[in-house]
Amino acid sequence: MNFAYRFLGSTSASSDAASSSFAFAPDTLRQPTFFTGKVARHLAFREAISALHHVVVSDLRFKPRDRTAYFEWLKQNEANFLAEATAQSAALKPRIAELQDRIRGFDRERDRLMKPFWAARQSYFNYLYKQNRDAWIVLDPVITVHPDEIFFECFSLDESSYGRLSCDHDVFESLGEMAFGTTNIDYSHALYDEFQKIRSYRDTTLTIDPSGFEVQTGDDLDFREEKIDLPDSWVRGFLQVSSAMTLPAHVFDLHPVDMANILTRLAQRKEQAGPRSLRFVLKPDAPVEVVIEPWHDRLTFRRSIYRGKSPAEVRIWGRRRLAILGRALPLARSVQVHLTGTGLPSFFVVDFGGLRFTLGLSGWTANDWSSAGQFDLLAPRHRIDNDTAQRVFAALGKSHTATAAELAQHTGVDQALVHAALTAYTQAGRVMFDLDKSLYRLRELTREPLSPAQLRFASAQEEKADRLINANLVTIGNIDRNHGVRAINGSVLDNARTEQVNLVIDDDDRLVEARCSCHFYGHNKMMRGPCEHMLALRRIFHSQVEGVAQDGPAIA
Amino acid sequence: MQREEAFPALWDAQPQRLLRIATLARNHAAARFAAGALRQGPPRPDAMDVAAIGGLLASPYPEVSALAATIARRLIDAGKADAALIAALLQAPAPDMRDLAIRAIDDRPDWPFADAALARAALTSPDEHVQGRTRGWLRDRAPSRDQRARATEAFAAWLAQLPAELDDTLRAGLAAALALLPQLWPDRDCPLQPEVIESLTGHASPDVQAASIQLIAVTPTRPDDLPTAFWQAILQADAPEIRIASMSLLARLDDAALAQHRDGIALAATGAHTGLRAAARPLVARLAATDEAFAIRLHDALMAGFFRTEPVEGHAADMVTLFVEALPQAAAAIDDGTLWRLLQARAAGARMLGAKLLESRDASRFSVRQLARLGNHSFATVRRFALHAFATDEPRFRADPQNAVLLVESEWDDVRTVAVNRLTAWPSNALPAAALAVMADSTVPAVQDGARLLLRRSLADGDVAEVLGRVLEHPSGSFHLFVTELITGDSLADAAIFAKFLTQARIILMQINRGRIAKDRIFTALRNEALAHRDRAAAIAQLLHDFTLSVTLRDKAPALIILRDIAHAWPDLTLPVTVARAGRTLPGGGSQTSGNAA
Repeated sequence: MNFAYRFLGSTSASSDAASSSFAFAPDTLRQPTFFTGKVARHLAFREAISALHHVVVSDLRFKPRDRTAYFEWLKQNEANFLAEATAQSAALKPRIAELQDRIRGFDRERDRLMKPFWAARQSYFNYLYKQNRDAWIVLDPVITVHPDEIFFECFSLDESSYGRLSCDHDVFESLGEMAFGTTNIDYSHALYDEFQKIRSYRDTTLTIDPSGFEVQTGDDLDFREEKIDLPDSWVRGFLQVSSAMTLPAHVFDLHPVDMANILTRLAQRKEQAGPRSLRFVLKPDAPVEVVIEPWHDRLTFRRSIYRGKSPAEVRIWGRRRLAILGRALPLARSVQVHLTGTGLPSFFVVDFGGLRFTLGLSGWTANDWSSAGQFDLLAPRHRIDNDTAQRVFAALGKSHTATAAELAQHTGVDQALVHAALTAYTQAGRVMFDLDKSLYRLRELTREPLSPAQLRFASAQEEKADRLINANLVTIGNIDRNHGVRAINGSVLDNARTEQVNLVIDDDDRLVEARCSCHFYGHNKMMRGPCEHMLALRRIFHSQVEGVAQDGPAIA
Repeated sequence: MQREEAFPALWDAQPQRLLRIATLARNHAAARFAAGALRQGPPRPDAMDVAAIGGLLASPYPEVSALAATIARRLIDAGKADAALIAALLQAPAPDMRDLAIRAIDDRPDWPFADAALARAALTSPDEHVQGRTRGWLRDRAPSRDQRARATEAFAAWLAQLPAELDDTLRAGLAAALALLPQLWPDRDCPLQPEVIESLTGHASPDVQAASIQLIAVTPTRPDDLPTAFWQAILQADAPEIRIASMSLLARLDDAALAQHRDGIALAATGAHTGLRAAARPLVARLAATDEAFAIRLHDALMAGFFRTEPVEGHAADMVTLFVEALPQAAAAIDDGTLWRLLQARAAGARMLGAKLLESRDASRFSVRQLARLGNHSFATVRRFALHAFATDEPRFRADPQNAVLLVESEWDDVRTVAVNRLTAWPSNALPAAALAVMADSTVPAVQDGARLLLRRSLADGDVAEVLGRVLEHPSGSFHLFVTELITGDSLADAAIFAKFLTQARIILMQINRGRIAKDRIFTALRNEALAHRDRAAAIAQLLHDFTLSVTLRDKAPALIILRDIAHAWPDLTLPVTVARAGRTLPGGGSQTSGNAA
C-alpha cells in the first residue's frame, strides 16, 4: 500500500546545559495538527518515550545466516569438483592439479587486488547502516492531539508489537496553541539519543510544529515529500492488534516488580524447545499466577490480586517482546494487563500517573502460516447500517473522545449499535479504543481511509475459508489430545465435494502438521501454506471447541 | 627466422604491397604476416616508409605498431624524420610513439611551428602530456605571425573535415586547440579569412560551429559589427557548445554593448548547463561591476536561490562561485546574522556560501556556543574553522565552559576526539559541574569516558553534591555505577538530591539481570541513610518494600534485612512490614514493632 507524506523540513532535537527541545515535523498533507508544551514529568516522559522507540525498532524475526557467499563459492568450484570426481586417467590428474594451482594463484591475486575495494565497500555499508538507520523504520509513528491528552502510536518492524504513549495535558506546563487531530511525524533514530538527555533540571519543550501549515503556496523547496510502500501485512497487523483492544478481556493489575520478575526469569534462561508460552492462571480474589513454560516455573504475585468474577487460564506467546517494558517499569505505579484470550493479542498498560505506556502484543511473533487462520480479528462482528454508523462517527468527530454511553445519548442510537459501529471503524483504522480511560477516540491512522475488506485476508485461502465458515460447511470430527498436542480431524464440504482434513496443533498453538484431500494440498503440500479447508477447520476449532471469544460487546 | 609465405621474393620485390597490407589489414594473421615479412625483407626507401608510417601507427596490432616504432626510431636517428612523420607519431595511440615525437620536436628549435601540419597536430592533440608540451613550445619558441597564421589555417582545414558527430578523442583535441587560441592570438589579429570561418559556422557538427565562433573571437572582426541575426542565432542556439562559444565573443564587447545582453548572460550563468554557467560567469562579473542595479538584482536572486534545493547537481557550487566572484563587496558585507543563517540552513547552496564566506571571517565574531555548533557542521572546512578557533583562542572557551563542552556533541570524529582530548587536559577547576553534566549527557561512550574522568578529577576540589545532582538522572548503565561512587552521607545531605537519589535507586535496582555491583552499593547507601535519618527511613522503607517482591534473592534479601534494621533502629516508625523474632508468636496478630502487616 502506498502512502505519501509531505514534511516541512525534518524533525529536530537539540540539548544544551539549560534546555532540550523536540520539534516534530508533521505531515502537511493531513489536517493541521499541532501542539506545544513544556514537559513537567521529565524522567517519566523520557523512560516512556524510550520504551516507545524500542517498539518502533523491534524486530524479533528469525534471521537466518546469509549463505550467499558459500553458494557462490560452491557454484564457482562446481567444475573443479566435477573434474576431480570424473578424472580417471593418471595423466589427467597432474594437469588438473596444475590448472587448479594456477586458478588458486589467480584467486589469491584477485583477492589481494580486491581487498581494498571490499574493505572500502564494507566501511561504506557500515556507514550507511549507521547513518541511515532511519531506513529501517517502516512507518513513522502517528501523533494524535486531543482535548484531554496527546498520544503517540507505533507498530514494530516485525508486525508483532504495538506501542502507545499517552500524556495527559497536565504532564505539560506552559501549554501553547494546539489543533486537534492526527498526523504522521517525521521520526528518526537521532531522536532517541536526544531523548536520553532529558533531565529534570532542563526545560524540555515538545512541539508539533505548525509552521508547515502556515505556508500558503507549498512551493517552497524546503518541503520534503516522501512516498513509502507499506506491506499489506504490516497494515493488517496494526489493524488486528488495534481491533483487539475492543475485545472483552481479563483485566488485572500487576505490581511493577511483579512484571519485572517475569522479565527477570525470562532473561535468566533460554528455552531450547517449546512450549514457549506464558500461562496466566487467574482465580477470583486470588493472587495472579504466571507459569513460565517449558520450565513450569510458577510465580505467584501476592500483592496482585485478580478481581474478575470467573477463573481463567490464558496463554500468550512471543513473550520475549515484553522486554520492551523493562525501561518503563522502574518509574511505573502499576501495570494493567489485558488478556483477550489464548493466542490473541494482549496489552500491558504501564501507568506513570498522567502518562501511560501501552504495549500491545499480537498473538504471535512470526507472522507465518504456522499461526495463520487462528482468528480473524478483522471479521465484521455485528450488522449495522451505514447511516447509523456514520451518525455515530460524526458524533465522535465533534468531541474527539467519548464513551459508548455518551454517544448513545447524543445520537439516540442504542448503545449496542454504537459499539458495533465503533468496532467497525476501529477495524478500519479510523477509531481507536483507549484501554486506559475506557473510551473511544477519533484517530485516522492514515490520510485516506483504508479498505478493511481489502486488508482483511492475508491470502486467497483465508478468504475462501471465511466463506466456508459463513456457509456452515465445516464439521469437526474427533480430537485427540496428548500433552498439549491436539490432533483434529474434520471435513469441509466444498463445491459438492467433501474434503477430509487432518490438523496437528502443538502446545505452542502452532500448526505443525496438516493434510487435506483437496487438490491444492495434493499439488503443493504445505509449500504454499495451509489450504482453505485447513484454515476453516482451525478457526472453527479455536472458536467452538477451545472457546476463544472473537466478538461480543466491547468493553464500555 | 623462416619466412612462412610461399614466394617471399615476390613480396620483397614489391614492399609497398606489404606496407599496404600491414597498414590496412584488420585481420591479425594478415597483419602479422606483413609485419614479419617487412622486418625480414630487404631495406626499403625511406620515403616509402615515411609515406606509410601514419597508417602503420594506426594499426591495432602490436606487431605492426612495433614495426612502425622501429621504422620511426631508425628515421629519427638517421636525421631523416620529417615533419609529416613526427606529426603522425604525435597522433599515435601509443604513448611511447608520442614521446618519440616530443623528443624529436624538442631537438628541433623551429618545430613544431615551422610546419603547419605538425603545428596543427600539436595543437589538436587529445593527450594531456602533449598539450602540456605544446603550451611550453608556444611559450618558449614564440612562433612568428606567419607561422601562427599557417597553423591556424591548418586547424581550420582540420575542423572542416571533422565528422558531424565527434568522438571523445576528437572532442578533447578540439577543446585543447581552442584553449590555446587566446595564447596563439593574444592581440586578436588572426588573419584567417572570413569565408573560411563562415563556412565552418555551417558545419554539421555543433562543436565545429562553436569552434568557428571562438575563431571569430581571435580575429580583428569587431563583435559590434556582427549582424543581429548572427547574435540571435548563436545566443539562442540549441547546442550548448555554440552558446558557450558565444560567451567568448561577448567578452569582446565593450561594457555598453555587453549590457544589452545582460539578461541572456544572467540566464546562462544561472542555468542548468555546467559549461555555460562557467563560460558566462566572467561576463556576469563585468556586468555587476559596472551596473549597480544589475548587481542588486543578481544579489537578491542568488540569495533567494541559496535557500532552495539545487535544481541540478553542481548548480549550488557554481552559484556560490558566481556570487563570490561577481559580487565580492556584497559577499564581504554579509552580516554575521545572515552568515549564521546560511551556515545553519538545510539547503546545500546556503551552507556552501556560508562555508566560503567563513574563510575570510574572524572567529571572534562568533560566540563560543556558535563555534561549538559549527563543530558539528557537515562541511569539513567549517569544522576546521571551529577547531582552529578552539586551538588558538582557548582562554575564550575556558571563560564559557558550558558552551565549550558542546563541542563534544559533534557527530564528527575529527572534532569530537580533539574536543575530548583538549577538555580532559584542562585544569580540574576549568569545567564546572553544569558543563561536565553536558559532556556526560553525550550518548557516545568515548565522550562519557572523558566526562567521567573529568568528573572524578573535579570532585577533589569541587562540590560532590552538585555533581551528583547532575548525574543522578543519567540513564546510561555506565553512569549508574559512577553514581554509586559518589554516594556518601554528605553528598546526600540536601533533600532535593536525596529525592533524586531515591528515584535513581529505584531505576538501578530494577535493572533486569545486570548492574549487580551498582545494586549492592545502592542497598548499602539506602541502609546508611535509613539508619542515620528517621525522616528518610520511611521513604526508604516504602522503596524496599517493593523489592521484597523480587524473585532475585540478591535483591530480596538485602531489602528484607534493611527493613528489619530500620524496624530496630526506629521502633516507633510505621512500616509496611511486620518484624518478628523467630519462634515468638505475634500477640493478637499484631507486631512487635508498630506498623501494618504486609
